[in-house]
Amino acid sequence: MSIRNWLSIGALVAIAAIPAPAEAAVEAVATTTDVAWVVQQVGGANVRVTSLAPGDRDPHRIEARPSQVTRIARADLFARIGLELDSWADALLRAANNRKVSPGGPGYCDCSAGVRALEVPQGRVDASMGEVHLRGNPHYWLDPANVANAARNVAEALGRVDPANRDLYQRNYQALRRRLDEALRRWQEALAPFRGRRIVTYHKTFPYFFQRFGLVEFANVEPKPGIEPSAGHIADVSRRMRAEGVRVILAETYRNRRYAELLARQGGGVVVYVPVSVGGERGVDDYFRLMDTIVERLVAALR
Amino acid sequence: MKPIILCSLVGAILFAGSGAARAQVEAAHSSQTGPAPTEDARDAIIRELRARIEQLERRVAELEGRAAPPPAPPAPPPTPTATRQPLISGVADVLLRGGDSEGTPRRGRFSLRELELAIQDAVAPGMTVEAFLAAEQEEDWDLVLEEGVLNLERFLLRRVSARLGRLRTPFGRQNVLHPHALPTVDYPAVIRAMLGDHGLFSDGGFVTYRIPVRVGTFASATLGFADTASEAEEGAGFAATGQALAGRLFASRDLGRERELEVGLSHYRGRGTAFGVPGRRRLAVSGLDVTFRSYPGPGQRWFVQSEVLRHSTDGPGGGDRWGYYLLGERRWSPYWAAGVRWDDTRFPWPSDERERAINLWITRFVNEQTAIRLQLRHGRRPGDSGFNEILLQFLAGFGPHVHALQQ
Repeated sequence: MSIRNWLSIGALVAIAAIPAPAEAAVEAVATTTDVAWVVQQVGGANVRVTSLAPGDRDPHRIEARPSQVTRIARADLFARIGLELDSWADALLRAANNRKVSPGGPGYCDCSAGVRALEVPQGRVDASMGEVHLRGNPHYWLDPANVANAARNVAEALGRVDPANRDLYQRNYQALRRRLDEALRRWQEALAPFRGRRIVTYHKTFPYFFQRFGLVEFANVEPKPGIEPSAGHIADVSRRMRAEGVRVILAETYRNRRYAELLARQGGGVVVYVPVSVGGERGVDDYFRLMDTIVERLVAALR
Repeated sequence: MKPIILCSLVGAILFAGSGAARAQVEAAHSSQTGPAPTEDARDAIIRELRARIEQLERRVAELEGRAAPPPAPPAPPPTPTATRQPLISGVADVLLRGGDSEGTPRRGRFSLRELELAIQDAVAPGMTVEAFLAAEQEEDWDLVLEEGVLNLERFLLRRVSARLGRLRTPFGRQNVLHPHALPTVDYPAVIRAMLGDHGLFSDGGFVTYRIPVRVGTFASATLGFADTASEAEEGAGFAATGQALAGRLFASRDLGRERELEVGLSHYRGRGTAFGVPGRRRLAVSGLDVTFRSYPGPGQRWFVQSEVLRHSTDGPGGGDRWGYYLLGERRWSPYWAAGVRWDDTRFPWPSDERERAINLWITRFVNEQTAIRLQLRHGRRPGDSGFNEILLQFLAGFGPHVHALQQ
């Protein structure tokens, strides 16, 4: 390759190197939209946050993209959902090589810290059990109490990277917590008549939600976490649904509808599709709207 | 539920609760010398009342024909989450080859093409070690060190990282992938012809500088000096040997929501040998790679990739040889993908023959590490004017397996 070609490439890279102007005091990167929402609520106008994963995708199956590295390399705060749900972000963290937001750094925030994880596997774990998370079920944000816990973690991390505004972040956290508590009472009242009702879910996404609102997971469309349903499994679950009078199948909006619909037809049930993250569908642009949507659709189906 | 039953139950709860409370308060009083129960006694009463209320609530739920909510799961015993173990993983790659060409190795036989064992661990802050051992079946079984690398995430400067040891030479996109991580059963013909049957390996060190660029863009430059020992395709190719210099420029750009364009330039300069030709000649391989990725929906991906390589050798019989592949793959669910790849390459010095082939494949992903792939190939290659091949691959992975971000 000639020197001229190398110079051309160098010029292209130099053009791309023009830095973008900074707008907020704290630049934050979150792995999911739910974490990004928490960071924005706690950080307010002081923080500009970007989510690596869109809200309408399965957070287990995100492909890390090189263009995301630069964002992390410049970030003051890296907030993640944790519990191995966003392990795909580790390659980005390593490539970004930003000590401030690497594990152990002041701007590293694992929002799962302090969460009482459910379904923590005991003993030996292998792939025959499906895609099991060693540290427990990672879908903890569907319990509002755990979102308050995440907000506390974020407030502490923001206080570390921007100590001048530590009090502001704590106040924002307390305000968010109060709003979550109020909303939680509303959601609990709405679902109270259905305590104990059994529901089929596509994936093990709802244990925290069910525990909070007194619902019971009856079965899963997936035979094992992350494993594609087979005809035999669908037939088995549908027989059990009919025998035990279970009607409602709860599925995330990003799931393949074929299997849930097939199960509903065979089992005499109805599928309720819900977003499970902020941005999971149009109009669901904050956590309150997300939970409102889930609760409203579930109440309508269970009634 | 009948209102009368409900009223009776509520009355029973109140009566039983107040009765129990009264009894326990009295009991507590009788066991105390003071006029009021102790805090412990009050707590005991409250605990018992709560237990009774929960018991009666479950009874109500049963009478309503519903299953009672299960009691809250007991707190899991504290598990030792802190361990000091390296990541150990493995991948078995089993292949069945068929077709109408005698040039197809191991035709009609199932064979364990490769068994890879990976051990990865951090050895210090910012330093990791990776060892990839591969048992490969050629004539006999060989155990080779596919990669053994010390990664320095920070090397002298903040934006600089380094990889030292035996590693797949950072040249292009597919050469750096282990066979099990390819989107197809095997490397494109141009990689096999110009970089060696198993790709290009180096013993040495490579330093990568992450170029400061605007958000939404990524760029890096890699330069390394290494000993090379690649393997040539028998009878047709060359083998790079000895000390060599290799470099790569890579840039990636976010093209809006869930789309990415990646461009790379690679250059390798060293010496090589060829079958039947004495001595070693100076050679250079240059490559341009372009990759486009798009994620149109949940679990879906469009993947388009091409690499163009030019192989140049000095001396009699030398010259420039060109080759490329063009690959497109559609993943329409987390479990299924299908694609097509067009191969067109000349063989490097001294042979000036050519291979062209069209490849079609479909992959069924059982999970992230386990898959079944069927690949069909039709083409022309030296000594095979119109061959057809069928390749059936079983990939089975276990354990936590980590790969660095491709760049």
